[in-house]
Amino acid sequence: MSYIQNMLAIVFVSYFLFILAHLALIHLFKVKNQVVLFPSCYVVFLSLMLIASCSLSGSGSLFPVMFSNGMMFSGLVYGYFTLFNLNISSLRIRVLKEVYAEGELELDKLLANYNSKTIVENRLERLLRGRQIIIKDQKLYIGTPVFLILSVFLDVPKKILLRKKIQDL
Amino acid sequence: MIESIMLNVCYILIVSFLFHVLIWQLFLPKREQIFIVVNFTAIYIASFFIVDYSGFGVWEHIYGFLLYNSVVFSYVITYTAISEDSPSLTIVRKVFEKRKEGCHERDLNRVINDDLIVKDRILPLEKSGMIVLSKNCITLTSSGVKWAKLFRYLDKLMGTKEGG
Repeated sequence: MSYIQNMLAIVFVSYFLFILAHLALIHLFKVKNQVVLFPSCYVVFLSLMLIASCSLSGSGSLFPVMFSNGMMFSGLVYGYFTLFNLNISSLRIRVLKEVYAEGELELDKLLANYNSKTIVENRLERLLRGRQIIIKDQKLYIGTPVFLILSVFLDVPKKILLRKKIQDL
Repeated sequence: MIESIMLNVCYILIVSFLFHVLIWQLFLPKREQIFIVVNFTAIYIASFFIVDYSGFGVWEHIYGFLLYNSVVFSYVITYTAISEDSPSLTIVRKVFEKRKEGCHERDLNRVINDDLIVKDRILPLEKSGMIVLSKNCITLTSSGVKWAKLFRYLDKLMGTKEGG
């Protein structure tokens, strides 16, 4: 196998092992918030993949190998994470699944079961579980500001590409 | 060799992104994600006529292609969050805005309304040919049935529950 083939093999084997480990952990420990497992699994398998890449890279510079393999692995993991997250949080997918289960569904019935109040409740529950939001004296405050940072970070391309007004922070 | 693949990919990505920004300033395509993929793919193909790939074998090209597309794929996914306001991010924003006095749950109900569900979530499903909305009744098309089956299978595999 050539050097490049080895690098590709390392990235893809690590990726499949990452998925297997993540699914195995979910089913073994019956974890409720499956998304929580992502960062730890990602860090472990990214480190293992980079160690394997460096050990096989020989005398060449390590930075390009680590950067390229790291980018490819992260891109693949991001795709898997999105698919996973979509299944948990997407209303469109929920509509598809509900209509499939019922055969057909009235729009009014759907909105009665699933309205803005339900969306807020579901999302809030998830944000509280992930400690993105915390409750003090029955009022909501920002906890771990990951989502807030993400929201601010997304403002830049919004402004450049879509010319949307950046909300004041 | 990986150094030159990485640099080539970085250059092509920068050029593709600049084209993408330029096009978006001129007009906003109707199917934005598809247009992004077309733009990035077109620039990648055009690079074969401009960049000197001598010394690259089949595997080097495969590696470059996969590296390039992993970044493009990630960008297309992220673009969805850029173009549509996610309810979770809207909630976090609202809570932060009210950080001094504290935010009540009722404040959040004003931010997300039922129109958002119909306009932003159900109508796009009809537009993409997955559902038919007729006389207030939603039914699945054959494409919708395939997607619903796939996501139900993923539910079992991933141990996930209902979305929203």
